[in-house]
Amino acid sequence: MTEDVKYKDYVIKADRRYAETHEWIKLLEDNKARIGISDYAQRKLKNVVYAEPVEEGANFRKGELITTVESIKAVGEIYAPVDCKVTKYNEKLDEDPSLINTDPYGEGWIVEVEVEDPSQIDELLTAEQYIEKVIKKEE
Amino acid sequence: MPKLSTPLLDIHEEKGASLGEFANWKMPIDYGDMLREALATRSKMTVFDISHLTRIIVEGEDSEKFVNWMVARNIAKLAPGWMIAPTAMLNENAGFVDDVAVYCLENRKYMIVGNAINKEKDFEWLSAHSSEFNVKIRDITEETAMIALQGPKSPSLAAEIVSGIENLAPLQILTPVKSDFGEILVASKSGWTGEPGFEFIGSPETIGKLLRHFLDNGAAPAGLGARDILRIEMGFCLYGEDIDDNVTPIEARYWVFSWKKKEVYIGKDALYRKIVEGVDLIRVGFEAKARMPIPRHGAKIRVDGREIGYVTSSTFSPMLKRVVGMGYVKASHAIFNVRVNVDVRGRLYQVALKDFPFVKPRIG
Repeated sequence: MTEDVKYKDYVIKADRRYAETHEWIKLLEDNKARIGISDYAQRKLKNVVYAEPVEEGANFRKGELITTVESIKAVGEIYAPVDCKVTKYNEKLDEDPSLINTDPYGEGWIVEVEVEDPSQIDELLTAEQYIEKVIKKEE
Repeated sequence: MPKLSTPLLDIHEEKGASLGEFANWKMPIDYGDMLREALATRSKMTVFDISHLTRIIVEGEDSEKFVNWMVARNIAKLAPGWMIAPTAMLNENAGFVDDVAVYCLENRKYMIVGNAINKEKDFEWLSAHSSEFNVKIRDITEETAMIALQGPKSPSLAAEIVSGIENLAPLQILTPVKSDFGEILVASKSGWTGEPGFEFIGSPETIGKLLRHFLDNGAAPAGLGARDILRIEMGFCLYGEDIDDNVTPIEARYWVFSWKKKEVYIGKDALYRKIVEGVDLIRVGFEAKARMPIPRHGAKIRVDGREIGYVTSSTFSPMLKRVVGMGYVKASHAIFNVRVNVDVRGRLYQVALKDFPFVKPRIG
């Protein structure tokens, strides 16, 4: 198991892949995967107060907008990192959207999906690549 | 790149502030959690850096006459040791040039505190109208710092530094006042949160020491993010969002003028004409009736598909655990408790029109 990568104050978990738009995707069993946003993204957004629910069964191509999450000051767009179909939306976010801030890699997951082609996940960025290519560029 | 920076920056950096730009100033936006900072203000006490506010001295033989001409409240009645807030400088159409506080520091010496975003505008507006008056106008914003200590626990902490401050009447000021940290230019019983509190103006060195003392003695730091949440909970207007040159105090339902003021001031005629002729739009509040995203400035307010107004400010209230905000609706539709819709990026969310405040203020 590779170590989590730390960059400044941000924790970028090594057990998943990242899109340039700050989503992470973690493969579960049976071509199922979970999608959320990185610690860096939740920090930029600050207090998340709302997540727009997603309909189960909705299909998305890689790069399409799945949903939005709102903080006091900003709107965060969540894009599909791979071609997928939503099987579950994290309803805990209705009661407590701040899970995205407090546990972005765990309880703050946003949707669970069926991944058509798991090899698309391998094309995404590793934790180190996400730090180099995305975070460092934005700063 | 913001042009100006709070002189208290080093203290904020030490405390882990998330800095950002507001009205051309580099200021602390939050210290990690603006919702928690807003709640702490209402439950205990916090301290805000508000050094970005515009501070202009007006002094001289004609200063009382001049300030009385420039602002909509009666300055002739303002004695040294008192401030008036809120009031406003209006233009000839009764539109807001800026909403301001006016302090009487001594006979023939006033300080006008306005919004950061109007720094140049306020100075130029005052200067342009001063030619017939024997007055001197000085912008002292960049030589001074300003902080606000707010919350139910604030009186006892403030009293440790400035004895007797807790006994001041609302809007009463001490100027100048000695403290262990140096001379404070103005200490006032005032604020913009709806909680008991005090504001302090002085040299960056003295105010910096005061800030450190408050932070070391139980006041949590709070940034502009929390300040915005608190003021929306109170229904207070923010210049540039809820009021501007094209909005009058009547549409804004913002009582910055005196009905009884006999003296003429800029905009007085236009203001009374508005009352006689009526207005088309009125500022109202709204409260979410279900979970919803925060509508941004300009989001349309609709009823049955028909557009009746637009949002000017909105936030998530940690006290009420729901979205609240304000905007302008057609006078014909400004009816409280009626349920309407706010259009956020093409989706409609139900809200109830409400009057202010959303959270009951502990003062005033």
